[in-house]
This record gives sequence, structure tokens and C-alpha cells, in this order.
Amino acid sequence: MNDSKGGKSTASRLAFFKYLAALAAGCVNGLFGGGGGMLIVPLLSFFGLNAKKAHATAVAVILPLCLLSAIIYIVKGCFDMQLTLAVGGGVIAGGIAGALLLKKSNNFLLSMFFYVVMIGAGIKMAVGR
Amino acid sequence: MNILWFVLAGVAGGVIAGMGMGGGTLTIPILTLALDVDQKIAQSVNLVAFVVMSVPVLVIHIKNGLVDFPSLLKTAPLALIGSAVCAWFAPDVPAEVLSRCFGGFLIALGAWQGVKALKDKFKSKKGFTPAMCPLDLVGCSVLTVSDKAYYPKNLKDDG
Repeated sequence: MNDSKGGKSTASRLAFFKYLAALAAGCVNGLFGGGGGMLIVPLLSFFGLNAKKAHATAVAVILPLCLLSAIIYIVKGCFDMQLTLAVGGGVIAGGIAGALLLKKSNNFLLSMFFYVVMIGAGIKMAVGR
Repeated sequence: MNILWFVLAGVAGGVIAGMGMGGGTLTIPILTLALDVDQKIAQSVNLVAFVVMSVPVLVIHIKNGLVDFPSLLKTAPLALIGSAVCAWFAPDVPAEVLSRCFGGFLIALGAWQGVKALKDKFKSKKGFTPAMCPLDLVGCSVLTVSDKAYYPKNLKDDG
């Protein structure tokens, strides 16, 4: 692990940074209802996990966050049953398809396309309508 | 609005999520920008959809031994506290503020991950060049001296 390198203060500063990053990822996930995983994966990679393990472990980290956040949202009245069923059904079908596609597709081009779409959507949301 | 569009929005987000690229970051903008769903409702839909989808995924990952429990224990408790606090306040924040902040988050995330993907691509290409260097030995040694990224990137990953 990274802690073994460097002096004591560097190690403790690093540990502080890691905990801060985990806290921030949780905040983002609770506040925006998603996106925490995109911060947890790099953090886990930083812990020394390879890409596959980082993604799998990130799911394990995010699942309890989403469960707790979802319960809080529902208790506070932020919920639409019909919409959740429709979108949720699509997400499950798409998730299976995505996991199967992952083995065959050109990852680089696809992810670059995804990031461009992400930035575009971000600009539109930040500017407002 | 036809319900089919909502199912399709879910499929689009699900495909990206299944590929491990953060489906919620796509599902929420599709719902709010294209389908005019309220920001907070989109967030709650995304949260519930993720919980439902990730249970079977996680079972498979654990069976395959891909979940690293020490890292999970190091990360999850603080992340859980952060999310509980922020989820408690989120429904009281005006939707427009949330939406704009989320937009900023998407821009930063997209730029960061995009640059990282480009760098990784560039690095792995560089690592390969000397093995099948079209130039002479001089060209190869210049590459070797100039950049530590010369070493194959995935050496560390196998550890």
C-alpha cells in the first residue's frame, strides 16, 4: 500500500486525504442522487486495486449509500412510483446489455463519446433553461 | 409523455452503468433535460434504480472474489455518513440550484475522466512503441529517457 512509502506526516496527510475523498464521494451521492461511484473508483484505484476490483468494490461501497439515500428521499416525499418502475425496468435491462457489451466494444471511443456527452449535458444544466 | 421514453432513458443509463462508467451521471440529465422530469424526482428514481440493479451485480462480484473488503471497510463508513447528511438536506435545496451544481459536477467529472482516458491511451501507446519501433535504436532510447510512462501501465495492476 502507499502508506509504507514516505515519512509519518506524509502518510497521515495521505490518510486524511483518503477519508476526505470518501466523505466527499458520499456527499455527492447523497446530494445529487448519483455520481459517487465515479469518485469512489479512482479512490479505490489509489488504494492499489486494479480496475476490475475497483469497479466491483465501488458497487459494494455505493449500494448502502444509495439504499440509505433512497429511503431518506422517499421519507421526505421525493418519489414517483410510476416513473421509478418505468426507468428502473429500463435500467435493469440496459445494465445486463451493458455488462455483456463490455467484452466486445471499443472502450476508448465509447468512453470518450460518453465524456463529451457528459460535458455537454453538464453545460446545459449549469447554464439552466 | 409516453412511458416508453422513460424505459428507454433507463436502458441508456443502464447500459453505461453496466459498462462501469457511472450510469446515474447519464440517467439524471436524460430525465431532466430530454423528458422534463423534476431534478429531485430524477435523483430519487436514479437512487432506487441503482439499488435494484446493483444487488444481483454485487452478488456476482462477491462470488467472483472481486470485492476487496479491507478497502470497502476503509471507504464505506465515511461515505455513508456523508451521503446520509447530504441526502437529508437535498430535498430542501431548490431544484434549480441542485440542477446547476450537478451540471458543474458533470463538466468537471467529464473533463477529468476524459483527460485521464486520453492520457492512458497515450501512455499505453508509448509503452508499446519501442517493441515495434519503426525508427532506429536512437529513437527508442530517446523515448526511454524522456518518460517514465514508458513502462507497461498494467504491471502494477496484476499485483
